[in-house]
This record gives sequence, structure tokens and C-alpha cells, in this order.
Amino acid sequence: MKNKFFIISALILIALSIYLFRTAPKPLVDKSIKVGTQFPVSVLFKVVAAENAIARALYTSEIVGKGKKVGLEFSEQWKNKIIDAGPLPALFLREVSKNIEKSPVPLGLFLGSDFPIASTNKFSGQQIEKFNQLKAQLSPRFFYSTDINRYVAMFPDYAVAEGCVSCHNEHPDSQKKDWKLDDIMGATTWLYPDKTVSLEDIVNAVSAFRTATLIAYNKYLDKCRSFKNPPEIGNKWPEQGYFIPDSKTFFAVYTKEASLQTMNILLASVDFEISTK
Amino acid sequence: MTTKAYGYLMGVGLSVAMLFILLQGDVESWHSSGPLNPGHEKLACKECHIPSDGSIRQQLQANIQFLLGNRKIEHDFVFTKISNKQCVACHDRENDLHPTYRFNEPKFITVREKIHPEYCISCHREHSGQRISHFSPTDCKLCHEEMHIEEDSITVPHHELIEREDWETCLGCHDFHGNHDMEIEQTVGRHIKFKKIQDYFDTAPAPYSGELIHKAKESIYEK
Repeated sequence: MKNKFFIISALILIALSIYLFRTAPKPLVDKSIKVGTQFPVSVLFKVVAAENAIARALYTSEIVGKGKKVGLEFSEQWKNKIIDAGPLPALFLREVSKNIEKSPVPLGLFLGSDFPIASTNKFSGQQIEKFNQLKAQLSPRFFYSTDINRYVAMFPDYAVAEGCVSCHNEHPDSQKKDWKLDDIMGATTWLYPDKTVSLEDIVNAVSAFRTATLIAYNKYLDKCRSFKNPPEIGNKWPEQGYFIPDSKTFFAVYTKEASLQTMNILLASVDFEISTK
Repeated sequence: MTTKAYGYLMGVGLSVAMLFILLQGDVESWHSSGPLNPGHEKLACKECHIPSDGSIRQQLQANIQFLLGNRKIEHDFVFTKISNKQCVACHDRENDLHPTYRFNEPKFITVREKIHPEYCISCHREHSGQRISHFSPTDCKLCHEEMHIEEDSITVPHHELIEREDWETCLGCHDFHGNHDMEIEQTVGRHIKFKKIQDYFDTAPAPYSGELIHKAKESIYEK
């Protein structure tokens, strides 16, 4: 009887081992395994931050700043159907951030400050510590946030146009009224889950950022079309009158500068990799 | 055959028969962990419980390799883990005032530790039979305690409401996700009372005026 039990047990064990270990079915891909040359995630952050800085400066200066001079309105209430206005720069960034979240790329983008207009955008905890370091050293901060398992980067957000300064100084809810041009008004915070990234990951992140920006810009153009007095949308800029560039025109200027910056950052990081080997 | 062996055979036979019955599509509710939440009553299990990649054998093998340290990540077994993705597939809203991703910002660490607003299911646990399975009025305090609106248009300014810890009034005027096309009440006192909000969180119809701005899709597979 004992012998019979042993034989049955051994047979079951052999069958189970074959079932569990013999890789007759193709093994499932371990998606965490990285292929290709790896870059530190800081390279990805620098690339998307540069892309964002260029798109943001273009929108702030050429659309909002010069648009206001020809009668275009920009408001916190821009989504209200009865208000003929576009998004203020911070709200444009929020649209971009929301669109990035919808992409399959695990990139996160937020905007905050030590003196924000909306109290919920005020830095606290680890972010305020890093922001203070950023302001003191005038350089981005990179760290890891353990509870969300994300690598984090913070980049300075400068007052790039007169509109940033005047709007924040004049806003009734502004906690600081003496902003000057080129001040660090806050920081963009970026999140990514991996310590190292491939070139493909960087390209995907840039693609997600550009697509998100395009969607946000098209949304603004849709809002312009609904104005009682819609601006002419085409290849002219507000600098030339009551015009708004279409997405093709806006993107031609943005991507020309951004592509150059992105390539420079990538090449600089490759040079660094070679020189340290 | 002995009585004991006959008993074993009966047990195995009954188990197989029960398993077969439970696997039939039209008795899904028998193995549901609880009643579906309001609005989800007609959803099939497969709307949220999406089969994981690979065969059961491949999944078992992958996870054994993970346990042996030969793989870096586990593989979802039978079904993919429930995440915000399943919820957002139907409830993605353009104007969401409190999207979950917003709470991934590092500064919200305390809020994440306390109520995990970065996950839909922290408030909307499925199979609870309620719209909202967790909400406390003081949850608003976790982020909005320092709010100050200079040109406040409501009859009792927000900072006064905050000072007197009147957190039950928040949702009396504001719909958390902002999905009702309504004018915000300006007169404190005329706001929706918290009991009505609680009933809504349970199963009652929405107390907020106005139509839904974004209606949820009826299936995650809907284009």
C-alpha cells in the first residue's frame, strides 16, 4: 500500500514538474527586461523638459502675450462656453499633462510653485525641499519618490514673458506681487517609473509630449472658432494682427527649435557615456 | 468498490459538476463577490476582469520563475489586475476636477497615505452596491485647508467655512468630479444637505441639478 502511494505521488510530482518547468509553451515576455543602449532616466527628463520649455515659451510669448495686444482673451474660465477666451499658460500645461496621462507612456507632468495662485499647486514636503535647492543652485533636481515608485525630476519654470509677471502680480489670489522677468516662478515636476531608458523610450516620451501638446493646441483652436469674433486661423501670428497660427504653423516653429535641443541633449549624453567608459 | 472510495468518487464528481456550472456565462452573479455598484448592474464580468496574456500554464511557469528569482516581475494570473485603466476606459472625462493621476504628484504623499485618491477604487470599491464606498467630509481638508479666495463670491467666504471646519458644505455646492452641468450655489444655507449627498453616495439619484456632462460608455470595448 505504502509503495503504491509512493509511486502515485512520484508520478504526480513528475507530471507537475513537466507542466510547470518544461518550457514547451513559449515563455511569456518579461516586459521589465531592457533592450538596447540604456540612458539614465535623467536624459529622458532633460529632453521632455526642454521640449516643454520651448512649447510653453512659444505659447506664452507669441500666443498669449502678443494675442492680448490684438484683443484676444485668456482666462482661468476659458472652458466656460460663454467666455470667449483661451487657456492661460499654466492651464495650457495642465491640458498637456492630462493628454500625456492618456498616452501609454508612463510619464507624468505637473506644475507647482512656492507662491501659486491656487493653493493646491503649492509645493510641500519633499517637493518644497527640492524646489528650494533648485532655486539656490539654479539647476534641476532628480530624486526618487518611494511611495509611488517613481523617479522624479524638477525643472525651473522661469517668467519668460512680461505676461507671466503682470498676470501673477495683478491676480487677486496671488500670494506674491513682486515677480520680475526671469524669476523662477515655480517648477515643472516630471515622473517616470524606470531608472534607465532606451532610445526608444525617449522617442516615445517625446512623441507622447508632442501629441499631448498638439491635442491641447487644437482644443484652443476649437475654442477660438466658437468666439463671437473668431480670429483668422492660418499661417499668421498675433504679432501680425487678429490671427492665430493653425497647428501646422505653430508646430513647425516649435518642433524646429525643440528637435535641435532634443538632439543636442541626446548627443551630449552619448558623449558623456563614451568619455566615462 | 469500498464505501470510502465511493465517497471520494462522489465528491470529485460533484466538484467537477459544480465547477462546470459556475463556469457557465449566465450564472456569473453566483461567484460575484457582491452586488455591482449603481450604474454597473448590466455590466458583464469581462468588462473589468480582462484575461491575462498567455495560457494558464505559461502564467504559472512565469510566476514560478519569478519566485525562483529568474524574472523581475510577476505575471498577472488568469485576469489582469484591476486598475484605474478599467474605470477610465468608460469614465474618462475631459473636465474631471479631481483626476486620479493628479494625486501622483510627490507633494500629495500624506493624502495618498490616508485615503489613496490616486486609485479610483479607494472611493468606488466595486461589488459594494454603492456609488461611493468611502468618503469622509474631512477628506476635503487634506488638500484644501489652506485655500483662500480673495474675491470670494459666496455668502459665507470659503476661508470662514474652513475656519469653522464646516467640511460637510463642500459637496453641497461642488460635485467632486465636476460632471454635472450646473450653476454653483452662491448662498451658503441653500446648499444640498449632507444627508442627501450621503444618500446619493449610497444608491439615490444625483441631488445636483443639471445633466451629466459626460455620460459613461456602456462598455470598455465601445469606440
